[in-house]
Amino acid sequence: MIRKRYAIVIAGASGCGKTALVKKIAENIRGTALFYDNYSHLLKNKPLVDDSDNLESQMNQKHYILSRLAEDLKLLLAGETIIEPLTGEEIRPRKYIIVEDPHGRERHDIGHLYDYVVLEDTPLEICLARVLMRVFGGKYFMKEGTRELIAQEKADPKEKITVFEKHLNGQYWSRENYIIVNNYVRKNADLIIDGLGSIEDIAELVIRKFKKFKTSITTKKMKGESKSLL
Amino acid sequence: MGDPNNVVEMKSIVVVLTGNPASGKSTLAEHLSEELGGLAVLKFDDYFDSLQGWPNDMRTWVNEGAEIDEWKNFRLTRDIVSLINGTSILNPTTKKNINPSPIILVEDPSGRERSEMVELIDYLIFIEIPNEISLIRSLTRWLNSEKVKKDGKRVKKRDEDPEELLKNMMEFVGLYLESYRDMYVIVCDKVKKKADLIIDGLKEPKVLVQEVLQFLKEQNIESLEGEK
Repeated sequence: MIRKRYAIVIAGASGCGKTALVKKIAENIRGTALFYDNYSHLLKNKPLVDDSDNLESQMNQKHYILSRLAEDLKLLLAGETIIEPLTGEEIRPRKYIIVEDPHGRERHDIGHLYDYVVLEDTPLEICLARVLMRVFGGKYFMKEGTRELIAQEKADPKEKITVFEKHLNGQYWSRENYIIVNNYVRKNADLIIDGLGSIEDIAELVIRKFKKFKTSITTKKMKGESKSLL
Repeated sequence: MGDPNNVVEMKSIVVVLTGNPASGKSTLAEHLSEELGGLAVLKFDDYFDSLQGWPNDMRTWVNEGAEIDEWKNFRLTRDIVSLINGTSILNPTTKKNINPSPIILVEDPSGRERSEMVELIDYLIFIEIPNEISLIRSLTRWLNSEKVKKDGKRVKKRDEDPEELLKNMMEFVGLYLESYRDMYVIVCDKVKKKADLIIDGLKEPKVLVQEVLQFLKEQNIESLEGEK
């Protein structure tokens, strides 16, 4: 019998704390972590963040589809090791695969593979402040339009100001976008959390709720089976 | 009724505008003033030098229950009383003269939460905007703010010293995450509960002005009669 593996997904806006939560959960339940951001460079076209009206269709158009992520998840769920495209690192399958995916179940190529979707619905002002801290408050600054890191103090301050402005005017961080995406994700999410409080507490809560969910589907299945036997 | 000691006086009405940072208090005050033929407008921020009891440690202040009444600004209250009594005052920051008017507008984020103000306030209007819009607007304003150089020339801070500007803004973002965000949320929550009118700050200023004028009209304020 093939051992059942589970894909647990953390969705939410940029800055909501997805990445940290995925890492924490993976650490606590000895799971495999998989990050959307390590695949997003494969997107042929960048999502049109300022075109909020068409977001629903956009999410399922080719420039949002990350078939490589779906393929890799399928392999992991089948018990195979994959090579993560950005870092080239080997990722081994464990019983629980924790996936960071901002779109939850909303992308049709991958949504059906997800067992449990958590929307981390952190207040947006906190998300924005955290993103700004990440971009400008860390040791390194990523040169605009690249993945090249330079020491924060060596970066051109005028460029930094431009990047800062793009976080405020919707180009790099778009509240309209996150509100719309979260509204879609919320409808098909299994758990919604507010992302406030300590990461330990949040991770513990998610794990507890997931285990409860897992038990309930197993019981349902057993009940269903015993019924069919009658 | 009919009491000879009851001298009928045109008492000024005090309207306090409140809401999150960058919710549009000043813009609304400007428009209202224009609409009503020039009003006295006082801003809490212009009285920052005379503000007492502002928490040194915002986190502790929030954790200990956010007691807004600890903020005292006697100069502001004194000036409001002066205006009510028909005496002109001087804006402590701009040093400009402010003359009495039938309606006195006060921009004060603390609403009816400070005991020294409660008696003076006739109407409290709360301008509501989402927290992230407040943060975005505040930072955008800061990003495009100017400073006056020694030779009197006005320059944009982002052109003059982008490094310094970014440093200051990021210092604030750090504080915002640490405590200021929670402070704004708690203060607005308390203040909003005692508001006489809540308006949606995402609407156009001219729509908001009409909503406020309509509200004031419904209050049958004597001093407003014959304005139009």
